[in-house]
Amino acid sequence: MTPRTTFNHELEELSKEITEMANASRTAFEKAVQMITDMDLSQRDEVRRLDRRIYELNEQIDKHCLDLIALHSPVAGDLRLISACLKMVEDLNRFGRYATDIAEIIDDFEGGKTFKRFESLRTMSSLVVGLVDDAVYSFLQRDAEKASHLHERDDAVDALYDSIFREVLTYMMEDPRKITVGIDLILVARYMERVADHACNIGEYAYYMVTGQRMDPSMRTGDVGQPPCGRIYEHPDPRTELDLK
Amino acid sequence: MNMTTAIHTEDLHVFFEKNHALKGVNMDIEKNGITSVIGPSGCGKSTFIRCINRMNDLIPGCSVKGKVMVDGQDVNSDDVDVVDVRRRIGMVFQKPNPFPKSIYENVAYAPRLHGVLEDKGGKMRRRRHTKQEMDRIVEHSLRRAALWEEVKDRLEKSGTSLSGGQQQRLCIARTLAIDPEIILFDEPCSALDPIATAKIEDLLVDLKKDYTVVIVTHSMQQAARISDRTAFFYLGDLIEMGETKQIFERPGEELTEQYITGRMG
Repeated sequence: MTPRTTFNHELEELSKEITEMANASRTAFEKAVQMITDMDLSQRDEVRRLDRRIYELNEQIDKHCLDLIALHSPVAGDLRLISACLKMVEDLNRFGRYATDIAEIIDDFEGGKTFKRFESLRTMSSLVVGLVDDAVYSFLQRDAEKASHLHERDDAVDALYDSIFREVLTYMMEDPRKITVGIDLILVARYMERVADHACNIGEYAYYMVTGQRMDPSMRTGDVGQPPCGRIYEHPDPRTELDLK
Repeated sequence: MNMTTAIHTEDLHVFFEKNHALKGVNMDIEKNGITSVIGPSGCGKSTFIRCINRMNDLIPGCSVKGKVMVDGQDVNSDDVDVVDVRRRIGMVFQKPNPFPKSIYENVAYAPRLHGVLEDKGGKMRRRRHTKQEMDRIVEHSLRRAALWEEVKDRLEKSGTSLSGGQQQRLCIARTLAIDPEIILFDEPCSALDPIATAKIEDLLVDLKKDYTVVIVTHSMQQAARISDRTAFFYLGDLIEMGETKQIFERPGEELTEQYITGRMG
């Protein structure tokens, strides 16, 4: 008999739960993105249903991990797996929340017509879905090599977000009537950019879980977390503001 | 890693007649640290720590090869006084074994045996402790073993009348009474309940300020809780040694991972 049968069984259950949550989160985000690319608003209810399921799984996995720590005192690879699951559920949960937020914005906005024309958003969504896919894959398949390259692709997403931000800002400055739709567009792009960051976090957990080493900070290239405004404008000089009449 | 070495073993082999129990162990044990030795039954953990103060000498058919260096001196060399080695390197065993004497006498026994070394006109002479000196040693040792407050009013009672955990702390006090540099613990908590175990563990962490501690334990959680470094033995080989955090978070060897995660069949 293999030692620690009960514990091994519990770890298998945990793996099934995290796989279901990863799939649900990925699907929720993908469907929200489809609402943008295909203007298929019928996905709205499915995104909401998935978000509720993701939340349930978040609670369930969180409790399961704490039970395993309390009852089985895991160490080494087992501890790294459980610790990674505990962190990963938070990021997967965010996928679900952002998917719902994106769905709500598009649903509210004139059938989303404006979004369909906005090609940069389509490009960005396809990049982010790919990133999410590979992050989840690297975790489930214990693929440290794949996990180690996620940040490079996140840089492309960040660059695209900056570009969308600038473009939309220009439209808003040209025509103040576009401010509402502009802000919605920026929010959708921002949510996608955040999803990409969460995907990179998952890659980092996968990397640590597999190798036992923290990811080298040099792998985290780019200015992750810096607000986009900071890249476009210098800090506004108060005297300049005073000159504005 | 920066550390001062208290014990250094070099190509250490132990044979029990034809049984090769330790197979060339090279290890550095940190001064003023707690080093845990873990591994499955029969892997050579106890054999290893018993080499450090030559307790294996007492086992018929046992032979030791290789070096065990303490303070630059090989404890196995012929010119070493075994009694002095065991004074400098104390040992506490699995089962508390107080003498069938009073609590006071348990602690006073060894200092009385060794006496006090004194310089008398250029010649070193041993003399008996005075009553005051002995009282001070007994109180200090019992305090250091975190037992004084519990027994100070009944020092004349038999050591065997104490609870298991108190008896084990009495044995630690007995070891401390002769002021060793190193203390070896061979599964000191295996016969104790969790409360007594917690007290011994706190005590060990406190003792490392003044002593080098080596502990053999079957409890991985205990090794993880109290030790600075951990060594894993398997079938007489030292498989891996490192910082306790590293061993329990990311062991370098597959065998270590299998053992500490309980997957060694």
